[in-house]
Amino acid sequence: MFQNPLLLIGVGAAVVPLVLHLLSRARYRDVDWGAMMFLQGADSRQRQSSRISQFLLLLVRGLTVALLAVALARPILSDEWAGGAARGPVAAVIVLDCSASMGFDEAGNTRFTTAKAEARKVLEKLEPGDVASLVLVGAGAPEGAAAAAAAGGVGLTTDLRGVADRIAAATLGYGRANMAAALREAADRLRGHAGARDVYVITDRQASNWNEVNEAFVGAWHRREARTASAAGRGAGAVPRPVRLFALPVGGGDAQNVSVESIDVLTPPAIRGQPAEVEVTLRNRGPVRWAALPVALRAGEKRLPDAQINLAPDSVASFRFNVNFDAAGSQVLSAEVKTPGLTFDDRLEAAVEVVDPLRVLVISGDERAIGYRSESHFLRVALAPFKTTGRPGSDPFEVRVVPAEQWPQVQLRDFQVVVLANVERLTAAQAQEVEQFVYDGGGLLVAPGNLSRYEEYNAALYRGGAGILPGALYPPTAADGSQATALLGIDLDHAIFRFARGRPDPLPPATIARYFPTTRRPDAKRLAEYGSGDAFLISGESGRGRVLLVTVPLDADWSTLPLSNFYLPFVQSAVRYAASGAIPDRNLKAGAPLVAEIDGPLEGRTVTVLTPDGAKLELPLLVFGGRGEVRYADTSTPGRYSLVVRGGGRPEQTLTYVVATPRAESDLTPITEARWNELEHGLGIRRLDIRERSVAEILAGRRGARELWALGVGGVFLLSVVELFIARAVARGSA
Amino acid sequence: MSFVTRYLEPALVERLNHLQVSARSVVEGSVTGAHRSPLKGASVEFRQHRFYAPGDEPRRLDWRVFGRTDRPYIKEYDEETNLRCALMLDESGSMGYGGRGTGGAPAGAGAGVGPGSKFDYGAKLVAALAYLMLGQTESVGLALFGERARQWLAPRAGTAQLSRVIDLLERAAPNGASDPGRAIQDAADRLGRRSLAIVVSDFFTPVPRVREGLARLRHDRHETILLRVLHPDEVEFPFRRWSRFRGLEGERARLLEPAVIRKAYLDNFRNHKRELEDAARAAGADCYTFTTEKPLIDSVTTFLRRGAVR
Repeated sequence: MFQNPLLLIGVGAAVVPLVLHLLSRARYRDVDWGAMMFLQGADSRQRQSSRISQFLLLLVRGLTVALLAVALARPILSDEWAGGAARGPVAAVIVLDCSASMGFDEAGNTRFTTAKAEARKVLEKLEPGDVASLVLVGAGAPEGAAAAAAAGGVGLTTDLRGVADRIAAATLGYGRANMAAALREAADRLRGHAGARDVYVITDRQASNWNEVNEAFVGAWHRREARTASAAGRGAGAVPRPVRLFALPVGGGDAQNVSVESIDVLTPPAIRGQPAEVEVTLRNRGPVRWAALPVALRAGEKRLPDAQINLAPDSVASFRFNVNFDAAGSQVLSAEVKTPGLTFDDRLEAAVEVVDPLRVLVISGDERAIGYRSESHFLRVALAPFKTTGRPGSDPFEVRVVPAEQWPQVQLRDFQVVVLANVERLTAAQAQEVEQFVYDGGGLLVAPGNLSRYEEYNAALYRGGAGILPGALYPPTAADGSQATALLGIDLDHAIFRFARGRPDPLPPATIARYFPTTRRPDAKRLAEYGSGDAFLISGESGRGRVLLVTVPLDADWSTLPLSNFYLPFVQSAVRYAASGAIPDRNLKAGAPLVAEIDGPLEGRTVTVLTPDGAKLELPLLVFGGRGEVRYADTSTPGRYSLVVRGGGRPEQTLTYVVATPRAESDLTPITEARWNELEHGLGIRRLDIRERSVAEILAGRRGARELWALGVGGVFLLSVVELFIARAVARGSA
Repeated sequence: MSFVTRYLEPALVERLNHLQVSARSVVEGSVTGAHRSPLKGASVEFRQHRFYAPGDEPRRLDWRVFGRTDRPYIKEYDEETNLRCALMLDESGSMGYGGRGTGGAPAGAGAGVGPGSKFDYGAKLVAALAYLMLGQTESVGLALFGERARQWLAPRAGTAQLSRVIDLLERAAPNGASDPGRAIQDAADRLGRRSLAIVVSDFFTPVPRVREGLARLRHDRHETILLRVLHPDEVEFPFRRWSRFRGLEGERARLLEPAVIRKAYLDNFRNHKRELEDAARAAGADCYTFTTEKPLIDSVTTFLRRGAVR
């Protein structure tokens, strides 16, 4: 068998030396010669020489030409021909990396394009009778099964054309390439094949692709191979050859990449007419320093002024901006940069649910006092400063203050947040009402004070940890202020305290004269604490709602907190946070199910989902305990998903969800040589540079064959030397 | 250029004149002491005084004349001056090699006569020697031979003899087979008196034949000098391509690959040369070899000054 059979035509050139000899003999020159007497005997020598040395010379020259042609044709000697056993067809599984990092653009060509070309080359070098399979890894879905189905069924197929079509149709995904899973899939497909078994992993040089190929995986791999061999040995069939693994890395090692990592509304929810502070975080991976990199911002369809950001090499940086939403409902914020290389992560969207000003009910334990001495005064001012002070402007909250004794006159469900401000006690009914309110998604802020009977709070709302109160109250500290303390620690990463990030002194210069010590419910979180070590703020969730326990009253009786510049943002944040429990987060991870509650009457309502790839599907409306719910599971494709709710006599409503592109592929850190060596030694992966050794050579060796071109060239050289000696010997007359 | 002067170009003549050697030195210089002419003796008759020329023996100076005139003169006797020289030139076909129409080109009219042929070279050599010796009032004859002596010009002195020699050379053309041995014998039959025989040939003939001729000359007490004229191709055999060698003396043509037969040719050539030289030595003759690439005047000069190529 020959790699370049066309060059065998050159064997015909072996007659050239003979033709030249005959031509030169025919094209003799005439010489009128005087010394004919000295040619006596030379004639006989000529005749004798013609028969032997001429024949030898012609033979050697012809052989040289023929051997050169054969060597150039690259002959392959199979083991079969050499007396060995036939090796059977080759089974090749092509693992094609479709993860997002393969979209890296290098001089106009993405790594994915290059990878597909290499995959086609592997197919082209297979021969009739060989089988192939395709595994697409990192496409963001269980693509392997789909690919197998498209390639002609589960497992290997002889339909190489079909596999090639599948390769051509493959598109970039958004998932991460998990090579361990891909190798397992490939090994499963090769199980049972008797001949040569090869796996070609065509991927970029991203190190994270191989994270799961660890010691445990390598051990399991070898055990699997051993089991396969021993099982075949016990059976009637031949022992299959070990699977050979080849890695064909494409693209360079350029890891420079800027990505938009996150867009967060710092103090959710966003409220209509109120400036929402948004923080955008970018990450720079690589050595390039970016100065004043423009970031394009959008709020829905509205273009906002561009921001500019400086990014040091290998750094994370954030900037904030304010955005005003004029209407309530689903909005989408987006941030985009333009940088070369990998572009999928240059843009990020975030769904924001904009709500109307939150309705807050303050149930006050003591409203008898006038002005600032009332229990709710500071609360009112903090939550509705414009209305409270009579100044023009819109408040983020609509506050209603009700004395505790008038509680029965209000419906908690008309509000989104309820504040229990120094309420003395709750009746059983009130406790139940509050619990139900929280379970239904309402937010509760509990701030006991001097009137509050802590043991009744514990009995009614904590109930040994089974209630909604996130912590059990203990007797307050000494009234003489001997145990006065201050706020020492706050969780700046929590939504409630994000407002304090970036401040030179985030802790309030406030004195806490008295407070209620607490023990936290196991599932609750301590968000801030005093210098004494006791909690200032504990957060818990119950049902669909959130409960915040502040261990000091929110007036100025026990602390100077209301007099600090910490108080207003804290109270507003706390109330927003409490209200957010009922506000759905419309930002999803890829693959997470989309679940939406449908408010209001459900009769005659229809819900349609529009997917990022343009599909439109009607979803069934499910009813749970009087509430409507729709679910949509196929969110593997990043982008916007819009739920359009119609009918039921209500105006059409659109709920926008955003599935963000995972950023796992943004880290292009290349695999190190040491790691390659680990893979090569541990798993036996052979890294190939296609430019150095062709797939054809690999497959030739795989078939149990040997290339003989080197032997041919050596033979040509040897024959050339022999020809030289014969020619010289003939010239000397010694042939 | 005059046809008559083809074998004696003016430049050559001028060079010959500058040589200023006596013809005698041609003989005496080229003949070993054992073969010096025995003709000098008391019975020879004084002929004339001649101005001393470099190479003349000092003992022949006439001291009385020198004392009177302060000029050196030598005495010449009839026997000394009556040197008879027979120049024998091979005009067989092989002597035509190297001229127009040979060396690979189709043969045509006048082949071998043109400049560059061995015959041309030999004829010039003969003409030069004849000029020198006749200029010294020696007797010079010419024989042209192939298988036998074809043309014979008896040795005579005088300038008219030079014209006769030149005329004979001009009308000669190399052709036919060669047998120097036979030709030498023919010349020996006609020479009569003791003479100097200078044979100019390529000697492409079996050496035994030459040996017979030399033996005859020696028997007749003639002095013999062999001047062998060759073409460089015949010495080196430089051919590479397949060649059909056509004999210039009618031999059968042979298609040969020079690379294959070259060694054999050179071996044959060297063996023959050695044999010829041995035969000459055994016969008391001198043998000199010239190749046509060497300028004629250099060959003549070298020969006359006893540094001739042997």
